[in-house]
Amino acid sequence: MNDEMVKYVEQLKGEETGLLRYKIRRIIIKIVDSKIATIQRLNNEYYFLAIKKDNLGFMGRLFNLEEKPQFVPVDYYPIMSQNERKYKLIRRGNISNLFEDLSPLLNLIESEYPLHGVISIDDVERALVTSKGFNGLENNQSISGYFRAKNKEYSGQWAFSSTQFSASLIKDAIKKANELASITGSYEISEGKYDVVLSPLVMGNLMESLARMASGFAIISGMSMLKLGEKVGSDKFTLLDTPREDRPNSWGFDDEGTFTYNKAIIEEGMFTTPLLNNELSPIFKSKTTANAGWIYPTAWNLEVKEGDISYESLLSGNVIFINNVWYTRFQNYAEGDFSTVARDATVVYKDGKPVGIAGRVRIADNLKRILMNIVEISKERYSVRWWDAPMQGVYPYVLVKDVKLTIA
Amino acid sequence: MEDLQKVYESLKYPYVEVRKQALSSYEMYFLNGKLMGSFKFKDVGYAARYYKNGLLYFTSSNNLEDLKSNKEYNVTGWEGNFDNTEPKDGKYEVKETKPFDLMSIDEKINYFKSLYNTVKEIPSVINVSLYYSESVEEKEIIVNGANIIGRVSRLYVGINLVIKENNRTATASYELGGSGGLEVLDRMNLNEFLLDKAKAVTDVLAKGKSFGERTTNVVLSNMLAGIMAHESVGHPFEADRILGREFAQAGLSYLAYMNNSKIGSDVVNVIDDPTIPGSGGYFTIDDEGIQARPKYLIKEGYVNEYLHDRFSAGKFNVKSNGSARASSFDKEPLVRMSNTFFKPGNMSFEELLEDIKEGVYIKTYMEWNIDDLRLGQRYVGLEAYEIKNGEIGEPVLFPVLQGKTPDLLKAIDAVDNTLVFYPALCGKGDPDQAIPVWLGGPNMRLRNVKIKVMGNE
Repeated sequence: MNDEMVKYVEQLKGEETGLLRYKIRRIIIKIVDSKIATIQRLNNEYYFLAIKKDNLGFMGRLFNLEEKPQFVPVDYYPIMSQNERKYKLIRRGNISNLFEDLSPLLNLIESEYPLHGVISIDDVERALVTSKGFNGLENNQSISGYFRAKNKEYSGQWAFSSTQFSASLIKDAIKKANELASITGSYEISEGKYDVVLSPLVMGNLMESLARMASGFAIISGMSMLKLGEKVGSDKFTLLDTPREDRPNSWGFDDEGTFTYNKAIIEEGMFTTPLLNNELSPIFKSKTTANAGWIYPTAWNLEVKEGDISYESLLSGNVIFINNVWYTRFQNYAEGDFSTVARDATVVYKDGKPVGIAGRVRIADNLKRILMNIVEISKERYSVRWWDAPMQGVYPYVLVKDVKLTIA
Repeated sequence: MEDLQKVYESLKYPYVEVRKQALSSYEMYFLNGKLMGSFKFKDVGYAARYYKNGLLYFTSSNNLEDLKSNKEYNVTGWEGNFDNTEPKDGKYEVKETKPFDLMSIDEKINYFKSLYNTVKEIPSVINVSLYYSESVEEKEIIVNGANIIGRVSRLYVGINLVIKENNRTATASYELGGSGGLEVLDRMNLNEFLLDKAKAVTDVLAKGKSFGERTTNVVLSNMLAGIMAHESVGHPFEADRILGREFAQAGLSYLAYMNNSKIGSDVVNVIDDPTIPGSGGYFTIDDEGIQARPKYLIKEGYVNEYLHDRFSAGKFNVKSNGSARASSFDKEPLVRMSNTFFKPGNMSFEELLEDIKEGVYIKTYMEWNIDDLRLGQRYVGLEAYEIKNGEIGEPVLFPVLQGKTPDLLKAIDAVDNTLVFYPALCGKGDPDQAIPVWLGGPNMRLRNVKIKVMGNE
């Protein structure tokens, strides 16, 4: 297995060597006004090499194994795990068929309102050989997409992601985008604090920022509001990294040859687990969490634990439902101050009934305060990934009290 | 180009474009004087795009042979007519005046490590991150029979400072760079720049006071003018966005709804010009074989011209103005900005200030965003100062400027005679395409705009 890679690593005779290979097949379908604008087939194959030899090192992306590393002095370098195991997992689901023929999928694109969106079909093969004896080969197939239905000045957006293709994935997401777009009528609100229900798409966007701040590298760089053992969310809030679930971007080993495992990053509101690789673990006096990323550890995919009440009951009072956000920008990562702009169906509910759309409001608040103010979490969850939340995640609806909203 | 020619000849369609694109770069990342990582990157591959029955079929691969076959479908395509302007053979190139290898990797490492020494003794400085990148982008394109060759080298430095003073913390980010070689680095004066920024931000945290919430005069710096030119004018003037091709991603444009073409005051002129020598977004022929040229997006306050590729131009029944670019071989060309800026005027900065009795000068910002119609925007100032009786005064703590694009553009009553550009990576499309651009402008005076206080809005 990976014979050429094994030979290449052996020949380099590095103290720490990791050679990663990616082989990617991808199809992109872009939908505009319920029609297809473009169908794209993208193939790519490349290598990443990390090596340390004496006090010199190299990290780079190689086009092929004819290329040799060009060493430079290094202060900090990736360390491979002492793991001499072989690991092979090749999954062949029904997504393979879509690479041969897209017709079963294209026939599903039907919408009441003009529909816009992108469907991505991915088949990623990933191999790793290290100088510490690890030899792994694995693939991950996934289909994900997002749809935005346009009802004159109103719109609704929804997304999906899965390791298996089914007609219901596409149909349900289109239906949900249409349902949200069907809520019309303007309802002006003033700037202030509101109880807000965040949709799984909004959670996807915010949790990705939070997971980035959970990286050990973000913490040592001062680019994180998270401190180990500190309470950063309500008791009801638990955020997990789940590389061992059957999900897009789930992998059995990390980039340093450590076997991955599921873990709570934030457990019942407490920041328990910074995401680490081998080189960061001594700084945190802890073991690697199998989240390498050389130098910069990252989450594989995310999950927020479900609550015990229904989505409908979250909307039963006076709340504002936010369908989607984009352009999340932090003015201060160390404190967590940020703003993000709501889009699509921002629905005002009075006594549990929708009374209109608030338009493009902005959440201008502090992420820690939002997490602390989580009051309820729905039992319904959705597996989503979209353009402004590209990390795969499974998220519920979340009711947050006293969220600061501004206009314009 | 012989290999590309064979693929081109195998594709018999009304519009065919075949491209080889290579990006080679060397990047280094430093944290507090230590080299945390250096990365050598090489990405080479091929793409073919053709038009058939309203659909754009796009294939990309490292292997040229993969481009010759594609499965076609009998579905309704969204793309319509395209501008069939005949492409011409051409070549453009940015050469390094000082080649990258004139300074060895070791010398570069030592130089960037030494920069930390400039600010490490300042007690308020908690973290200093520096990112360095040198790159060469090469393109060979065949469009409907014409051959285009492009080569652009670029150098870029990113700086991130974490500063704590007076129990307040700020993260400050800066970007510098352009096309060329080591001469771009020489012009940056990084020692001076770092020291100036560390002191200025410390001063704001130490002495900054709230300006309070009120309607007032605001002077936006060259940097703020740049982000406004890019986000509030450049993006909404992308014709594919106006048509809805990006509706599910970055959204629509206010121009899809606007009836009134007067969008700003008479002093507002916004230009997108890819032909500026040394610029981050430099090219002279676009990726669809159209000659590039400066475009007046807004002229004397009026909407003048959108950014077009061949396909958006076809839908608007106009000619493309050469705005199609792809960030790498495996991305479709899209309508992109290049170097987008407010045109400067004749006034000096002092003249801009002299009749302001009370106001705020926002020099740098730490947060900005905008809604998906490119109307409602927000800037939170970092280096910001009171203006009193025509003079720059004490630091102001984190003023918030929010407003709608036409309101802000109409509030601009004067611009000064400076023009400063900043580099950026502009994102668009799915898969996302980060593409090098410049954004810039003069200092600009806005009358009667509302300033809010962060946390109290």
